[in-house]
Amino acid sequence: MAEKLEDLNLPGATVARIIKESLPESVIIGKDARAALSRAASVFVLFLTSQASQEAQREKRKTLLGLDVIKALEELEFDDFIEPLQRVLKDFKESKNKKALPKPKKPVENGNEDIEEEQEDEAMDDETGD
Amino acid sequence: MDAKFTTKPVLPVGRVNTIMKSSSDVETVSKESSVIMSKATELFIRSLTQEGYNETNSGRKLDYKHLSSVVHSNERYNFLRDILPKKITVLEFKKLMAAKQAVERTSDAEETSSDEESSSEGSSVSHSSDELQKNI
Repeated sequence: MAEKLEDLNLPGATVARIIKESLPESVIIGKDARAALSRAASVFVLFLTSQASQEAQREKRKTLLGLDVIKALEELEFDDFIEPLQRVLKDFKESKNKKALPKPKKPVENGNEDIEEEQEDEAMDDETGD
Repeated sequence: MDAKFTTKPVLPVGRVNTIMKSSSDVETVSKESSVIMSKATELFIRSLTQEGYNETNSGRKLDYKHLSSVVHSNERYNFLRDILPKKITVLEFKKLMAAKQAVERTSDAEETSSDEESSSEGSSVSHSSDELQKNI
């Protein structure tokens, strides 16, 4: 569950960057236009989640998968999103497989320095993930 | 679709996941579906922005009214009509309310007259016109 109410909003700076990228250079964005797009995006997530969960229920699954989201978009007339998202799904699955297969070194139980280094790496990975 | 679109998530997947889980419809949300949702939302922001910009006729500023206009003309943004209502002036609002009241009055009159006619024919005709006058 969300701890703070702000947790249910998308980060304003990131949303603003996406809007800016989508417009020709030197076009200004009104303050209320930016706020409206941000609000609309949050509602879009909930709307699409609801439709996607119906797709999962149809398959008698309790876990929402990427495919459910893509199917839901088709249902909701966002057909133009499907092709790029199928690429995203493919990339995601491939990178997951790469991570799963060659694990170069497992933490050695008695080598203490190695373990510390690995933990640091993992912590950095987590940070860049956001 | 867009030169700036890559397969890497731009909107934070964790935050998207939190919003998804706040929905009562869903039990478990996989990482995979959050990643797809994050990218879908990015595409959504891009397409609504671009469609909004088309409304400006190559203008210099994207405003609320452009977005609202897209939402109210394109069927697929139907779910946002309450979120991005059309903004109107007080004068327009007054006109709108006057028109609405006029419609309600006539439909009320019709309702009573048709009710009366179906329940007791013949004698009710004069009665329903009395009602009508009272309503007005």
